[in-house]
Amino acid sequence: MSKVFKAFFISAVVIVVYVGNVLCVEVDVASEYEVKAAFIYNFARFIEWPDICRREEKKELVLCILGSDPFGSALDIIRNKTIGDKKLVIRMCKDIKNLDSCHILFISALEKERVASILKFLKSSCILTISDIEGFAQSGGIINFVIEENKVRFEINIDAANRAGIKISSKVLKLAKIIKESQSP
Amino acid sequence: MKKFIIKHFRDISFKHKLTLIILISCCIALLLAFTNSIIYEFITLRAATVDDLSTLAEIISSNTTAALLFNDSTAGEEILSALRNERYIKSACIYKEGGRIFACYRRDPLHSDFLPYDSGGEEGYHFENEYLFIFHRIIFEGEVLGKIIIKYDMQKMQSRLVRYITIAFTMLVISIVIALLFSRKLQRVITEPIANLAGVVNTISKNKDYSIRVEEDESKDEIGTLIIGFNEMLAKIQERDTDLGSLMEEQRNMKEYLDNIIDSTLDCVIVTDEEGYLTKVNKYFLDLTKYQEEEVVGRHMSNFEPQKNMIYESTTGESISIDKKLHDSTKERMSKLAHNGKLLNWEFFLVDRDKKIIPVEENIVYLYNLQGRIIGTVSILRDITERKKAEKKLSEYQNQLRSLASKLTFAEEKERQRIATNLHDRIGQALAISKIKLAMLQKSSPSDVLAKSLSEVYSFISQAIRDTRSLVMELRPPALYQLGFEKAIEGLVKDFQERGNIQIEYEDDGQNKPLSEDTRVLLYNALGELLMNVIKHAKAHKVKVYIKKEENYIKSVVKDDGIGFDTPDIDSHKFSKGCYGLFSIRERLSYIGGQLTIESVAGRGACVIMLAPLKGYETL
Repeated sequence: MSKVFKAFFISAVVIVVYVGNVLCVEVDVASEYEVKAAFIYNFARFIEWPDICRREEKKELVLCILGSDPFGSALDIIRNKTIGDKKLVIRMCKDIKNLDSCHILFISALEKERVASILKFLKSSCILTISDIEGFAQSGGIINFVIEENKVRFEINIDAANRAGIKISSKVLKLAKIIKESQSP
Repeated sequence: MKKFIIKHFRDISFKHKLTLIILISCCIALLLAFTNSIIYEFITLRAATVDDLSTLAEIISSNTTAALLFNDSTAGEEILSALRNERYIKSACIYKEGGRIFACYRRDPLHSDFLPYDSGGEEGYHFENEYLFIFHRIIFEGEVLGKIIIKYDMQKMQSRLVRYITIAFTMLVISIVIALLFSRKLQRVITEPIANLAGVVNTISKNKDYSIRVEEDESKDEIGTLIIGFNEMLAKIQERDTDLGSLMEEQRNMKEYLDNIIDSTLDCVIVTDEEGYLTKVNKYFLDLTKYQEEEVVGRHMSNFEPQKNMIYESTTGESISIDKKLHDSTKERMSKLAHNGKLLNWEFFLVDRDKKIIPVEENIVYLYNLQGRIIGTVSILRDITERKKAEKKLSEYQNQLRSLASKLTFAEEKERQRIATNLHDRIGQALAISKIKLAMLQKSSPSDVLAKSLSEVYSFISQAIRDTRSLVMELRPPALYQLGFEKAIEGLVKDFQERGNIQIEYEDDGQNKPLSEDTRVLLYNALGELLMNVIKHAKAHKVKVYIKKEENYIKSVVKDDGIGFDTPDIDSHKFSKGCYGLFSIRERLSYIGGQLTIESVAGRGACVIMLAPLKGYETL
C-alpha cells in the first residue's frame, strides 16, 4: 500500500471521528445554559412589552445578566439575533441601578441571596425577570427555569407578569407551569 | 350484437319503440346529470377535504410553534391529540426542521402509521392509494421550525360517493318509472293515429278495397298531414284503379276479339319467340295437328317438322320419304326468312300428333318490339292437302293427254306413210300404165284431132304422175327408207347447209343403231326441226350434229355457237308459245321412253341432246 493511500486513509478516519464527536456534543450534550439561552431568546419572541415602557425607539431588545455570568459561551448562540425588527443586545450588569434599559433580566443563581431585594426593586417595572433559582417564580419573579426529567422546563408567575405590564403569549403559557401568588406558600 | 339489437328494435311496435326512445333519452339525460353531479361532488369534496385539512394543519402548526421552540414534545402531542375527534385522520406527525420527529399522533396506537419526514413535498398535499397526505411547514416569524404531515383516510369521501350513487340510482329508477307512466299516456297522441293508419293500410292490402279512408283528426302536425296525404293518395289510387279496371276490361275484350279472329281463321296461325319456341297457336292449328294447346305451347317449332331419313304417310295419301334435299329445303326457309325478313308461299310439311305429314304453304314474318328488335315470328300456314291432291290428279291427266297426243302424232305419221305407199304403189302405178297405154294409143291415132286430144290427156297424166311423186316425197322422205337413218340424216344436213348457207358438221360413230320406224321418223323430223330453229333464231356460224350409240339408246346432238338462251325459259309459257317444236319433241320422246335435254346459257350457244331408245327398248 502506498504511503499516499495510508496518509489518505488515516486522515479520513480522523475527520470522521472528529466530525462525529462534534455532532454528538452539539445534539446530545447541549449544555443546560445553551438551552436556557435559547429559551430566553424564544421568550422574547412570545412576549409583548407594554407601550408605556417607551424603549422601542432604540430598536434594540436588551438582555441583562445580573451578577456573575453562568452562560459563558452559551450566549453566543443568541448573540446578534433579532426579534422582529429589534436587535438582541446582551449586557452584563453588576448593579441593579443600571437596569433601566433592560427588557429582560436574567438573575444568576449566585444572586440567590439578593433575589428578594432585586425583585422588590424591580416591582412593576417593564422588565421580564428570569432566573433558575428555586422558588424564583413563587418569590415574584416572572419566569423560572426548572429541571424536570432531565429537561429544562419553566414556571411563569402570571401575576408578576401582569404587574410588570408584560403580555406573555398563551402558547408559552400553555407550556409553562403556571405559578399564582395566591397559591404560593 | 348490434345487428341483433337493431333487428329487434326494428321489429317491435311503434308504440313500444316510442316508449323505449323516451326511456332511453330519459335514462341518458339522468345518467349524464347524475354523473356530472357525482363528478362535481367528488371534485368539490376532495377540494373541501384538502382545504379543511390544510386549515387544520395551519392551526396545529401555529399552535405548536412555542412547543417546538421550547422543545416540549408533550405539549406538541397534546395539541395533536385534539385530532382524535376527526376519525378519518389516521395519523399526524410534527417533525423538527432537519427531520427529527417532535410529536406524533396515531389513531390506532398499535400501528406505527406515520410518514417519514422526506415523503411528499414541503407544502401541499398528495393522494396515495386511499389516503390524502397534507404537508405544512411550521414557520414562526419567518423561521422554519419544522413540518406537520397529516394522513387522512379518504374512506369518508368514498362512503359519501357510494351514498350519492345509491341516491342517484334510486332517483334514476323512480324517474324511469314516472317517465314510463307519462310516456304511456303521452305516446297515445302519436301512436293512436299511426296505429289507426296502419290498421287501414292492413285492411286495404288484405281486401284491395281502396274506398276505405282513414279518419282525419283536427291535428295540423306531420301525422295529420300524413293522414290527409294518405287519404288523397287512396282517392287517386281508387280513381286510377277504376280507370285501370275499365282499361283492362277493354283490353280483355280486345284480346278476346283478336283471339276470336285468330281462332276463327281457316289457316294455322303460329307465334314463336325469337328462338323458335311456340308461344301461341290458334284453334285451327290444334285441329289440324290434333294436339292440345298445352302440348304445343313452349315446344320448339322443329318438333312439328319432318325428321331426316324418315318415311311419313302424307295426308294426300302417298308416302313421302324425307331425303336430305327435302329436309334441307325446310331448313333453308329459315335462312331465307333471316335474309328477307319474310317468307312467302313456302311449301313444306307439318307433322301432326299421329306422325302424319300435312303439306302446307307458309308465310312467315318477323315480329318486332317497339325498339325494332326481333321478338319472334308469326307464321300463317295453309293446309294444301286438297291442292296437292288436285295437282297430282292434274299431272296424271296431263300425262295421259301427252301420251294421247304423242300417239296421235305417231298415228298421223303412219297414216301419211300409208297414204304415200298407196299413192306410190296404186295411183302412181295406175297413172304410169295409163301413160304408157296413152302413148301407144296416140301413135295409132287415126286423126290429128284425136291425136291432139290424146296428147293433152298425156300431158295431164304426166303432170298427175309428177304431182303424185312429189306428194309421196312430201309424205315420206325417200332417203329414210332407201338409204337408212344415218345417210338420211347426212342428206338432211347437206340440204340445210345449202339452203341455210351455214357450216354444219356431221358425225356418226358408225355403230349399228337399230331403230323402229316410229323412232326413225321422230328423230329425222326432230333433227330437221332443230336445224330449222338454229338457222331461224340462233344466228350461229357453226353447227355440229352427231349421232352415237349409248347403251340401249341413240344419242343425237345439235350444238351451235349462236346467241343461246336461258334454259328455264323452255318450260315457261312464253317460250313454249314461240317454240312449240321443242315442247312437242320432248313430249314425243318421253312417250317412247326417251328424253330431251337442253344445255344453254344466253350468249354462249346451245346444245340440244335427244336420247331415244333403240329398237325393242321403247316403253310402248
